[in-house]
Amino acid sequence: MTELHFPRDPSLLVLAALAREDLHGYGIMKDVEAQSEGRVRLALGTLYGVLDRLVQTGAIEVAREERRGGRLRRYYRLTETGADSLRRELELQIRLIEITRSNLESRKPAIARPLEAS
Amino acid sequence: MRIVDRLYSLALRVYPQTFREEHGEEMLATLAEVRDTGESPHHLRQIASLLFGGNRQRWLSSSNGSLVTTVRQGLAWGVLVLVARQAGLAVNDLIQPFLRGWDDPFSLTYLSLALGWIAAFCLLASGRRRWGLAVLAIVACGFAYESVQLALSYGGPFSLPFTLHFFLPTVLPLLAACVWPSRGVKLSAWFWPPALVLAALVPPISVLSGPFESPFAFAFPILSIALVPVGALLVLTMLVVSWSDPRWAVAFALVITVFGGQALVTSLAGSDPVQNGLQITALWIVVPAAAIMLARYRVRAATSSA
Repeated sequence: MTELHFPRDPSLLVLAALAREDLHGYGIMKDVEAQSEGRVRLALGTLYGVLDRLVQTGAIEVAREERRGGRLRRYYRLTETGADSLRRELELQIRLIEITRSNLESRKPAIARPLEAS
Repeated sequence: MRIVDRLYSLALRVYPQTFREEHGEEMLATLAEVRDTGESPHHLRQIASLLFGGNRQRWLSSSNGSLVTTVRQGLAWGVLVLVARQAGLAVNDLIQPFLRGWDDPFSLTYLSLALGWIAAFCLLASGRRRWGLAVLAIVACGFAYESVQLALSYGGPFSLPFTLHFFLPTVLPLLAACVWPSRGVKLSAWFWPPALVLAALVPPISVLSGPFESPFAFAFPILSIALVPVGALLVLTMLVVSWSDPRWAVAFALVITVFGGQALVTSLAGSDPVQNGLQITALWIVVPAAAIMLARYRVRAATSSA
């Protein structure tokens, strides 16, 4: 069976994780893993590259910083710009799903035809 | 500090300083948190992601987030290095007869070519884009005209030596004009002393070492086997060079490709028509296609920004 992949764009997954609540780096990693049912595990380099890019584009912002046991925790928040981008992407995905579903429903079953004699 | 923590700190150094200052502490804290929960952080995967992520950040930060600009500037630097080398070789051609005591007549063409290459380098390196490219085009055409008889004598108009001696010098200005950043490339003061010293060293090294002869027989099968480790080594070198500045990595790739091509010609000239055919196809199709694509991208970028 062909293995198909749920959209795996890390930026999309990070925005989706932050749509519910403000999260810090480790929280985002866990949320993305849970959302994708363990299929996507963001590595540190990927996660912080994405976070930096999303902050630069204004899709997310730093909500607050705190220290626990001397360790820095920086929480990120989805901005209105980020939420709009996420909504647009979501609508696109939904449209794609609807088209695919309707294509599958209107699909004609393959009919086995006898081989023509040459 | 545990060895693995030290490795993480080292891998973090691949990131640009500003990124490290912004996220370095946070990243190490996240890793510590992963470990505290008892999960395996998959050290190798994390370190690899830091190396590639850091490299990516360097590429992005070297030209305000545009990979295309980084590549264009890198290619421009590479062209500058090639022009500098060409200037060194032209001066070498000019003074070799005197150094070796040959009876060759003094050639005004060689003198004007040497001066032309030097002028093109100086103009381009000091940021005078239009004048630099114009001089480069004139000198390259003159060089191609001078070399055409010599190149033809190697094996006809469709041989690799002819292509490399005639085609590349004429296409180089076209490629340079397409990729040259519109603001020009101005090299910092530290570039000049080593460049001048290297250029000055070409003639004495050439006299002392005599003509270069490779000790290896570059037969096609040996070359094919050698391509894998050589390719891996090149990629690794590009990775390491790009930790200092990705633009130098692009420049390095361009220079090494041209040098490699010339080394191949020296060892294989006319010996393998199939291989020559493949390389000629690559040069005659890929190089102009790349030049046209870059030019189109540039026009599109200019239109969209207007």
